[in-house]
Amino acid sequence: MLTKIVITLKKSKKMKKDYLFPYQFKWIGWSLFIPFALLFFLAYGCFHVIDDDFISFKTLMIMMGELNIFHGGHEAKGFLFEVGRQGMFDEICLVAMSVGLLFVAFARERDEDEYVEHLRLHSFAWAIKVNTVLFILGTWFFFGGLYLWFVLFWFLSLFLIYLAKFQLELHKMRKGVNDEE
Amino acid sequence: MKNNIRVERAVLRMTQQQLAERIGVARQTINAIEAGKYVPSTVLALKMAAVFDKSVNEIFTLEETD
Repeated sequence: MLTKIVITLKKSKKMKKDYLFPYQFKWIGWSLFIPFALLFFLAYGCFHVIDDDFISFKTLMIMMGELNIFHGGHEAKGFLFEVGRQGMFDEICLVAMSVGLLFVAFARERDEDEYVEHLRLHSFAWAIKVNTVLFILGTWFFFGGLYLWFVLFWFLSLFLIYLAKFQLELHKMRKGVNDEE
Repeated sequence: MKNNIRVERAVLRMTQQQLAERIGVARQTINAIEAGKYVPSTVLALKMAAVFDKSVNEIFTLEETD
């Protein structure tokens, strides 16, 4: 009977939760997020030390604009596709920050099992609810360019709220164990 | 859902850690199940039943609220 259980365990470990990254991705994620978040703050926070053109290269640009097509005598508006040189420093920072947070959020815990997965789901559902409330408030009260900044941070805040809630749940779980038995 | 895992462990003189290792979960998971904070998956319930050499029904029982 015991041999049977051991074989089953080995099989289930192989098949287990392939949506999670290995444990080390937690540290890879933080080491991507923290430096790029600091650089982003230096560029766009109070100091403006770094200019967006600090890194620039040719890229595909998709924008809204006046199209040179006439529909019944009216000029149409639509998507413009252009290739041109752009300052890409903020784009690089934001991509690195979001990839970093994704790695941290979905990095396996050392003691990952179905209960931890249950806590993940619970925390994720909670974070989506809180972030939706933030979205409603932000959409209602922020206007103009500030709204663009809000949407940008709103996306990142989903990960941050999830991580805060998940770590709190893990802490409570581990603390609870020490009190028992 | 109620369970008598604590009793079954006591019968076998098994700690939470030992049971956790046998079925491949963390000790805190056993703790949460015993405390009624977490209802395990069917797979885990069957593994526990195998360790205690009992049927799942003998370990887990439904309550009126379930």
